[in-house]
Amino acid sequence: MGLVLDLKNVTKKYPGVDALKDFSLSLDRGKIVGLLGPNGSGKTTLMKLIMGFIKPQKGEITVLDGVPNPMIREKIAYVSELDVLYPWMTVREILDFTSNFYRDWEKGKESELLQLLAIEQDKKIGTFSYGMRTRVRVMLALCRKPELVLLDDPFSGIDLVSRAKVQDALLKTYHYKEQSIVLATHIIDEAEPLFDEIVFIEKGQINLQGKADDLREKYSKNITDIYKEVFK
Amino acid sequence: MEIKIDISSGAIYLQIMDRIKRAIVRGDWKTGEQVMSVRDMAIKIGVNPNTVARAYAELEREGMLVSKRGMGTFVTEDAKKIEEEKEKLAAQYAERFGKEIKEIGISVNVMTKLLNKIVKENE
Repeated sequence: MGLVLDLKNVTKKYPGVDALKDFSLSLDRGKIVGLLGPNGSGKTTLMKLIMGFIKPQKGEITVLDGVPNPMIREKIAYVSELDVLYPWMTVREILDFTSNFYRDWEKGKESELLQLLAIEQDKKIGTFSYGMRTRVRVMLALCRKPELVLLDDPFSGIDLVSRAKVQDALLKTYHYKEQSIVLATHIIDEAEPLFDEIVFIEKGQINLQGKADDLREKYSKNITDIYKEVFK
Repeated sequence: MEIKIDISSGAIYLQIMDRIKRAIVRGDWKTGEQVMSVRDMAIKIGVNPNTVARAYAELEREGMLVSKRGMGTFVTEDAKKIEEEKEKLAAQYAERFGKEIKEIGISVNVMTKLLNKIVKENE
């Protein structure tokens, strides 16, 4: 099936901090991967490197068999941690506006996702809670059919209902065998059954990596409890 | 059939395998009947489809499920196989049960009477 991501000895430094240190990670295609680690562990840096928004000082990055570039970026849906929707637009306007930018936009998925995420398309973004805005941002990624979906901490600071809806929508629209998802989070809980593979990162390095089920068996614990043990 | 998963009870694919085996030996999933696709099952129980695929693959390896190319996955038509599985599950229970009653120091006879009484009451 090949690799969706292959990072070799990647180092990314910011003044005064090593965001990633000699970081190597290979991920098979067609999996849903949980990238777990506390705030400041390097999750966002990793996502930006994959997108090619920033460059590493050292190491090699291969994404979907190429070096991160605008062509490859078209095959990726990236939900950043930033809350970037225009407040004066309605959901409908945002869908129409955003769909113009993507060749893999699936018009037919719009109504399904509006329903799954319980979003009213005639409402203005400015009237929404943070949880609702997160639902809209996730919807914009899921209306496409990218080879890779990157979600940077979509569960952070959102209400439980939004969280459950996002999780449900991810699973229901997931293209089994075709799509890869990397979801960064520091709150696992109910999201646990979503993941095939877990990568624990801390201080820019991998602490532990494995199939979620293998880890559960090995440690006789759920992933949340393994997380607490790894990062204690 | 309801498949409930407990994330704190070990590997999810093993739990799915266990629930499906029970459904088959109980007869809820009938011999030769087509089973839900990996994707539909994954959505139904709220787990990753690769986890369901792993459970199905293992059950195929054990002979409880059979996949037919291009048609989907089916419960085995081998009634003997299902009977064997039922006996295996029963033996596992008996073993666990035997250990538990030994721990509380109750004889098999007394426990059997109690068991019969409870089962009758629940009927």
